[in-house]
Amino acid sequence: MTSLRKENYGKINREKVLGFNWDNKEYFGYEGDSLASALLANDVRIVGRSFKYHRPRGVMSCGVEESGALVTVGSGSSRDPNVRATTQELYSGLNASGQNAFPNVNFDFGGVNNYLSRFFAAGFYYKTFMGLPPFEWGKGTGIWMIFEKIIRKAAGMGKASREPDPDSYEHANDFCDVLVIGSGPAGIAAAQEIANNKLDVILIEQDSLLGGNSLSQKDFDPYLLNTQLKSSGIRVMPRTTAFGIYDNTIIGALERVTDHVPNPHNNLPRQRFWTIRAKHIIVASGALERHIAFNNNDLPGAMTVNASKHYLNRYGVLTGNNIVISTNNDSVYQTAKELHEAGSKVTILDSRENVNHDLSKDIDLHLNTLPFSINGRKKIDGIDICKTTDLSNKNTIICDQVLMSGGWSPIVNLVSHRGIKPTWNQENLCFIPGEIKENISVVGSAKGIWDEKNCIESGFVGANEAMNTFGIHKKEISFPSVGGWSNPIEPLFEVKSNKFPSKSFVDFQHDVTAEDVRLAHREGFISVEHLKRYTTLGMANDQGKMGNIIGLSLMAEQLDKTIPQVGTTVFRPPYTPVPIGALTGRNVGKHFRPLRVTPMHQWNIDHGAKMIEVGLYQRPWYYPKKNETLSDSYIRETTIVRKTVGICDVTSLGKIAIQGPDATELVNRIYTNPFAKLPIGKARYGIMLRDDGIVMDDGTSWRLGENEYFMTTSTAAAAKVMSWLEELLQTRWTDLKVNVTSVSEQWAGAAIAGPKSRDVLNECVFDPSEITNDNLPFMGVLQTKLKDGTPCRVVRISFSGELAYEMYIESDYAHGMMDLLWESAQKYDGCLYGLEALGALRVEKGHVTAAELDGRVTIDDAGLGKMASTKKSYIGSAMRKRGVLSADDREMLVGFFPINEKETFNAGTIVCEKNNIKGQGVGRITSVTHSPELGHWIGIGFVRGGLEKWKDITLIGADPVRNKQMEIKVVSPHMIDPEGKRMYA
Amino acid sequence: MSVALVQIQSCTVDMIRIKCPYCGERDHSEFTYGGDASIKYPALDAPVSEWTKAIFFRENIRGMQKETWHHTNGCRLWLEVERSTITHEIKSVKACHPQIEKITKNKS
Amino acid sequence: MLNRNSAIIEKYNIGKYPFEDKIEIILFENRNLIIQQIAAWPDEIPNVEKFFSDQLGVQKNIDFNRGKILNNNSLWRMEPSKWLLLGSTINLPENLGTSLELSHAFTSITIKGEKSDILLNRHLPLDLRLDNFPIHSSASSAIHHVSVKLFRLSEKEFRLLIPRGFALSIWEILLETASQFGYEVIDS
Repeated sequence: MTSLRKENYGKINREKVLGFNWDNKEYFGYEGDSLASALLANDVRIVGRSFKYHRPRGVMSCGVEESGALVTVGSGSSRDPNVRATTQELYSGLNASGQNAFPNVNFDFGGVNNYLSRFFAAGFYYKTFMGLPPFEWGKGTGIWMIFEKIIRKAAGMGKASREPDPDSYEHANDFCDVLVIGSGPAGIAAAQEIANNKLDVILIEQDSLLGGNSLSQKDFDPYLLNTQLKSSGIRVMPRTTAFGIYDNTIIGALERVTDHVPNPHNNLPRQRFWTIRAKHIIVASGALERHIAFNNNDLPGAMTVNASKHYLNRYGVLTGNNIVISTNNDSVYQTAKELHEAGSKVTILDSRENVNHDLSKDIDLHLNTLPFSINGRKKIDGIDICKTTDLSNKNTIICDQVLMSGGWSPIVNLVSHRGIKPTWNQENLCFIPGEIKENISVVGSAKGIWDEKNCIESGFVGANEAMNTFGIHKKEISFPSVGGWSNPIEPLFEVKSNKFPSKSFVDFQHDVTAEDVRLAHREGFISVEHLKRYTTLGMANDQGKMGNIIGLSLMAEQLDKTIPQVGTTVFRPPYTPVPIGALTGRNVGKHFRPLRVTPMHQWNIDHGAKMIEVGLYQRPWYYPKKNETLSDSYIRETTIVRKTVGICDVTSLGKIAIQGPDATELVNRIYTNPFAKLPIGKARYGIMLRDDGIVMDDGTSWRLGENEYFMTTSTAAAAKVMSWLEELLQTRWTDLKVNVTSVSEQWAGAAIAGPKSRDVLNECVFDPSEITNDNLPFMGVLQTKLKDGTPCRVVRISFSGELAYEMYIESDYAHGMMDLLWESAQKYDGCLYGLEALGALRVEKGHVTAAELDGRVTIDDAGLGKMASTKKSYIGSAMRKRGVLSADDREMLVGFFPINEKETFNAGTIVCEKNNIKGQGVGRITSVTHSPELGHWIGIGFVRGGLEKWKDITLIGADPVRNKQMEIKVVSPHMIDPEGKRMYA
Repeated sequence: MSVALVQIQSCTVDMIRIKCPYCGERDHSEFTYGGDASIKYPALDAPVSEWTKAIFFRENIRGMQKETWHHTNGCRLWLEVERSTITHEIKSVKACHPQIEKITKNKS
Repeated sequence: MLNRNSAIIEKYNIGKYPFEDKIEIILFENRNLIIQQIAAWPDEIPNVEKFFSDQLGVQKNIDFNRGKILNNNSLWRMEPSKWLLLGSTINLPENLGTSLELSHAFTSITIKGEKSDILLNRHLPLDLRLDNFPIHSSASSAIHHVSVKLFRLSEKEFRLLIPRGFALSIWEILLETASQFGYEVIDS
């Protein structure tokens, strides 16, 4: 069989010749070709090997339903597997290859599977788990583990690249009044009518050219149509697939921006993931032609009828010289005429008894006739046919192509996404969309309307429905009726073969045969959902576009039911595959999550900080000198802070401005400890509980004025606390006159900690006399100025247990503040310290953070019970003592020391009794560090019953993940300076 | 904003639109779900029994349910939303704060 | 006073970055912009509006998510009872509500040019069609899950307020997207 490029046919640009590479050979096509049409024009017939049996496969359709021509495009990191050659536009230099074959699709060693097919029937994987008869040898995963590697290699589709995707993708948003999906006659009619009424219309078309099925008409001009649509103000989006319809008439769409471009510019994304919000959607998605299940119906050269018409009139490729068309409906007759006119010999097998058609004498028409089996190995040599009444008496017709039409299936997928079940139309043997209550109209052949004039009419009706949504009322017209063939279609889903195992394919992509469907039924899988999963029918990347209805009809036959009684599986988005890259858009690499930095981020880096991600924040982790490791560095930093002074970026703490006459009342209600009498110019450490009595967060609040507070929260809970305050003020305490505003970004903060911290501050502020022990006592707040007059806030507060301050400044000045502080600190042999040293300092003092306050801990558990007021009510006060929260054996905060001081332990270690090392033990270690001051490792965490119960008892720290056990003892969590002499100094 | 939420939301088509009485119709990704809007929280000094009921007892409604949503990435209003748990249909949206509700009702 | 330091200075490279010889986006930072939040007590909104009229000469009350361009400043209603005053500060009497300076909390970026609305829609799920978001509209929304505030100054000119800590990252993403239209970064 050689196919011909026909002169005077096609919408390709013959002026522009494109060279491309297929399976390492050079070929030529034209601008406007698809990869499939170019391969057909070059007489490349075998383009792939099938999933299980490695049978040779050719081009079977001309669109997204393609199940034969799945190819791999590109190489290296750009390798894209399972591309439908039918929708891949040809471009100069395109590099594609066949897949699932070794060494190539023409000669494939895997073809031996074809002869072993009886072992690869439905449920093969499941049966492998049951072991080999007669003794179920290898039952369970036994055999599977052995065979898996071989099977995975043999069965499958294209291979994805293992390298990172070099392309960029992006998300995009749009809005419109009416969105029309599909640019066939119905969609065009609807879009134009709506645009004429001054509404904003987006028209989406998955193809590069507009026209839908009109592209298969000889005289149709898609370029003229494009111009017309644009001049009527319609926003046309070609190469864009509406892959799903979601709530509130929102669609998801994938635009292929550069998949058709030889060397796309780096600035362009490869694909765009659109979310388009419309007020009304018109679905004009068309219908797909079905094939017929009979023996060898998958040989290269077998194709749907309408596809051949597309190849002829769109691409100028005549797909066969001697063509047999098998049908049960009227749709093929126009194609037969055109193929004949183009020079092919055409024979029609129609399964029906009476058909009225005006047909050329040169076209052989066999009525009452069925296709029985295609003859040939890698190409079609002929076809055995028989009468519907007598399957055993066969004739053979010599031919090089077999075209099939088993009827048409409206594309109801998108409507199904809305949970609307399609209904079976027995007259036209297809599912049509069910009743829709949303602002969605279905028009054209997607609604089961076949006749082109009626399709256009239905477009106008759909347009009217859409305009009703906007209160524009037009003359009432109603939808043309479903169907429209002059001779009714008759059922023809399968022609039963007398061969076993037959090669009568229902789902080409997954190699599911008619026999597999019956086998599944015999083995008890009688629900359509079970059938689908057992046979994998409809689970390949075409999602059953071609085979589903045939599968259902076979199941119905087995169950002695009708198709609607059997039902259909639910279609879910996406309609066609969407690459993961498009889903993630630009949120990859360092933009995978929003990246948050403090105002002294660059300053920290310039001063040698190694950074660490904490939540979304980048924070300084440690400041290594020369060859220092993390451990060297934080131990040095911790030591220096305790000895002289250290400076640390603490900007990531949450900060909230609380303003208004009821500010004090609010603060007093949310903290457990009293705030009502906090004087102006003082700060207080406070604990917040949740409604249920568990600790939510800790932080400080500073009273800046009569009606103004500055609250700090932990880094982790900043957003949560802000929302929580808003919730309380807007839903519960709506009478309070108080405003809360996040000022986390407005203020930059640094901790200055250590015995020399006061000296450092004194050198930096405008008036050193302010920073004395009397004027700024522990928890004192000062609103003052730096040396050069820049306003700042200073609070005397300590997380390290040393004499310490925090200084806050408006963010844009943060670099300047750090310069000042650092210049001064260096004079006292101070250091910059990071999160690791910060952690070490606070663990030594037994201060809790998010690692301890993990949503399970009460204020008593954390050893802060004395901060819970008994004189006032506050959030959580009613619930904090309820039953389980006041049990005696609750886990309480303690410190841990290793018995052998040379040993180290990890956070997450489970604390167990010596002779009972199992389960959750009696406690857990939540934070650990090396303590330079104590000279060994220390930890804090929780133990059931607390310090009192376990004092002087040796326990085991079990770390099963690291296969480690060690002896530990329980100590007070306040391991250094328990009286707090240093911070009051 | 939890990190897990960020990752999941990045990968889905935004499915629900909520008509904020202040901002107009917006994607639900701008909002954060709160909780049951029908709960009347007791006074802070109310007995444990009342608080227990308010915190732990919830109806499992099939149909229209009143819930609170926070327009986190918008006007920061806490909203009372009537939403169907079956279809996601949103019947009404109003500001929780009674005075704000009055202001926004007059305008929208 | 110390020097102010822009949050995006490290990636602020003034210059032209055309695509196929075209430049369809112009971006610049509005450095050192004064931003003040004015929050009224709900029952004082009419008096706050009168205050705006007396002090700033705002004749007509500002509708939801709209703004008014004044002489050296502009006033935008961002929440039912909250306004942002850009360009200057004002003293609000305590009985009417509270005011708060937020100049350092946001990085302000102006985006203008033929494709400015399209660039923004690559990231923002807002209906920016002129009928739905007329000139002098404002909106709070999110880019890549970061809260932002958007103001429309003319058909093809927008101003974006980004929380300072996220500004560098959002600026980078915006430039990445803008590269397909061709862009120019001009002096702030």
